[in-house]
Amino acid sequence: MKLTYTLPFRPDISKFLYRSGLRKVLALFLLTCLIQFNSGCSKTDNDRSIKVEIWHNGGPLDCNTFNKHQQAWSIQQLAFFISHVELSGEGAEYQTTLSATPWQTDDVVLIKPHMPECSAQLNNAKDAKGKVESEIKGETQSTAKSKVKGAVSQNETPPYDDAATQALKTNSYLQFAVPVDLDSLEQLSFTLAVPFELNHQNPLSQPSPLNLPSMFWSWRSGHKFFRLDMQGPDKNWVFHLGSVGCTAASIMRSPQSECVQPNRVSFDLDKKYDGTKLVMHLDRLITDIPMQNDSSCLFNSGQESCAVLMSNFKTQAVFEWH
Amino acid sequence: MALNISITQSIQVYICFILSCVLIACTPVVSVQNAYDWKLPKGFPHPIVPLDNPMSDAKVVLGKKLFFDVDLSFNQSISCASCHQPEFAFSEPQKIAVGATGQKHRRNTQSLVNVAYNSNLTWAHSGLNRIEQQILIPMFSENPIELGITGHEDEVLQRFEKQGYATLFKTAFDSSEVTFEQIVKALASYVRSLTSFTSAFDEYAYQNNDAAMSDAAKRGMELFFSEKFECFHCHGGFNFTQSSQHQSQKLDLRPFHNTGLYNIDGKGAYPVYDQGLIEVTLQPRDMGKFRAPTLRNVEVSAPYMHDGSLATLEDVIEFYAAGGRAQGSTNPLKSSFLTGFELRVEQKQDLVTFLQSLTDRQFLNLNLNGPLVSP
Repeated sequence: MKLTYTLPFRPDISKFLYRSGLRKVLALFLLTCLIQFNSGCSKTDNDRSIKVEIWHNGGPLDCNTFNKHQQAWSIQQLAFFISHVELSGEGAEYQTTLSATPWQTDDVVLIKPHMPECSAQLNNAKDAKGKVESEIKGETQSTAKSKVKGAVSQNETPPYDDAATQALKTNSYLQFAVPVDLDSLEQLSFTLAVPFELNHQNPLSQPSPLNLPSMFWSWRSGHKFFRLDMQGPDKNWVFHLGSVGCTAASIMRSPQSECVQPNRVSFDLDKKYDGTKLVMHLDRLITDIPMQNDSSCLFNSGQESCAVLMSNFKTQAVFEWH
Repeated sequence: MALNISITQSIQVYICFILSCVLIACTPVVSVQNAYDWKLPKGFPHPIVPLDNPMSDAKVVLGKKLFFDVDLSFNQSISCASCHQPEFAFSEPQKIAVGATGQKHRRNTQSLVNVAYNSNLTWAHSGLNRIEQQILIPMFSENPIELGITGHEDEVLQRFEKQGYATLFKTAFDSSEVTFEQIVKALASYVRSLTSFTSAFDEYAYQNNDAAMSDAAKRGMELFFSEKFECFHCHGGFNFTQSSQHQSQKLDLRPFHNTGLYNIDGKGAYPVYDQGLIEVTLQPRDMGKFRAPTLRNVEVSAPYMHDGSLATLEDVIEFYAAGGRAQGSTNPLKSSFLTGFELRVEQKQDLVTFLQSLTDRQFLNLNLNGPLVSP
C-alpha cells in the first residue's frame, strides 16, 4: 500500500527529516494523535454540553430515593426526550445541532440520568434484615458458581462491562456538535418530546436512541416522551407521557397526520447562573399528586393525574436553566 | 537516498501504528461481522457478536453437530438438544430441566429463539451477557449437573478427536486440535444463528402485508399493545422482550421484573430455592425479578414462567389478568404494570390468536432435521 500520497507533506524532501527533525515529526504526530484521541473519546467539553441534573426539594438528588407523604420512593426508571434545542442571547438565535452519539440524533436527545442505589442509611431495619438474608443466599450461589470451570468463575464481570458499556447505561448531557458560548447566551428553549415526523417510524430503521423499546409505545402512538417509574414501600407510581388520539389502521401502522393530543410541552428558560446545567425539579413535577396507584398517569383515558402533571410542567417551573 | 527511503518507510509504519492505536482505542468491543450471511428478512438488524468469536458458516456447522451430540455429556446420555428441542423452539415441554445424572434443575428450559439479541442471558442474571460464558454453565456446572463434564474433561475431549469432527474443527478454527474453547465458540455460533423473524406478525408489521394476520390476531395485537393490558411494557421491541440489543441499539437496559407469582411472607419473598435476580445483585429490590423472555414462538414453548408453573397460554393470560397468583398479586415488589385487568372470554381468545401469530413455522421446520448422533 502506498501511503506517501496520503500524507499532507512530502517527507523525502522535508527539512524535518534531519536527525533532530525526525524526532520533531514523531513528537508532533504523537501529540496530534493524543489530542485527537482525547477529543474523540472524552465525554464532554464545558462549552460543548449542558448537564442535566435531577433535583428534589431544592438540591440535587444524588441517589434514587426520596421521601414524599412520609414514604420512601425509589426511582426505577427516569428518562425523557428533548428536541428542538435552541439557544439565544444578545438578540441572536443559535440553531444548535446535537452531536451524533447513541443517545442523540442531530435534533433529539434522550436523557437518562445516573441514579445510583441509595446507601443503607435510607433502608429501615426490615430492609437491612432482608439484605443479610439475601447475602447468605448469595454466598451459596457464588460458591456454586465458583465450581463452574472457566470464564464464568474467573471473570464474573463480563468483558463487555468496561467504560464504554458504562457510558451506555446513563446519559446526563446535551452534547452540541459545535461549541457554544454559554456566557453570552440568555435563553434555552426545547421541546420535551420526539418530533411528529420522527415519532411514528419503524423503530428497526431508526437510529439510536429512537429505537429503544422501553421508550416506545407503538408505531401508532409513537414514543414515550417522558418516563418516570417509581416504587414505594407497598405501591408503585408511574408517569408515561406521549401523544394520544393517534389514528392509524392498526397499532403497527403510522398515523398520517398529527395526533389529537400531541402532548408536546415546550420550554423557554432564562439563564439563572452560568448556563452549564439544566435542572429538572422532580418534587415540582409531582406537586398535588397523591401518589397512589390510581394516580399514575399512562395517558390511557380519564386519568386525572395526567392533567395535573401536564399543568405542573407549565406552572411549577419543573425545568430551570442554571 | 537509500537512507531517506528507509526513514520514510519507518515513519510510515510509525504513523500507521499510531493511527491504528487511535482507531482501536475508540472502537467498541464488538463490531459488525460482514463475512457471515445472517439471512435476515429485510429491515432486521444484525445481532452484536463478540470480536473474539466472529460468525462463520464453518463454526455454525460444527456447533450444530456438537449441539445434537450426546458425546458432550459425561455419560453420553444427553446433548444440548435434549432440553433445547428444536420442535419446541429450542425449549422442552417439561416444567423443569433434568440433567445427565437425572438431577432436576430448578428452572424451566428457555427457548433459544433469537438468543443472539439478548442483552442478558438465563432467567435472572444481570452480569451474564455473552453466550460463550453462559454455555459454560450447562457444560461444567456441578450443581445442578447438566452435561456434567467437570471431572471428565479429557474423556469428553477425546471423543471429538474421531473422524468427521477433525475436518470440521480444522475448517472452523484452522486447527484440528480439539479444545473446550473451540467447542464453546462453535456452540455459541450455532446458537447465535437461530434467528426467527418470519412469523405472520412479521409479515404484517415489518413487510407491510395487511393480509398476513387474521382479524382475531389483529384484535389481540391491539390488546397486547394497549395501556390497559400492558403486555408490551416488558415484552416490547422487535424481539418481544426488552432484553434485546442489536448493531444499532447498544444502550443498556434492566429487563428484570417481579410478576407476582409468589409472596411467601407478605413482604414479597419468593420461595427460598429460587428468588431470582436478588441472588446475583444482593439488592432487596431484586427479589423475585426474572428476565422477560421473548414471545416469538411462545405457542410451542409451554410450560411458562421461570419454574414452568403455568401450563398454557390461557393460564398465563389469566394470571396477568388477575394481577398475579393468589397471595403473589399483593407482592409489594411486583412490577407496576401488572395491576390486573378485566378480561372477556373473546379477548382472551384474541390474545392467544395474536401470540400464535408470532409462531415462525419456517424457523421451526428449518431446524427440525438436526443430525441426531447416537452413542
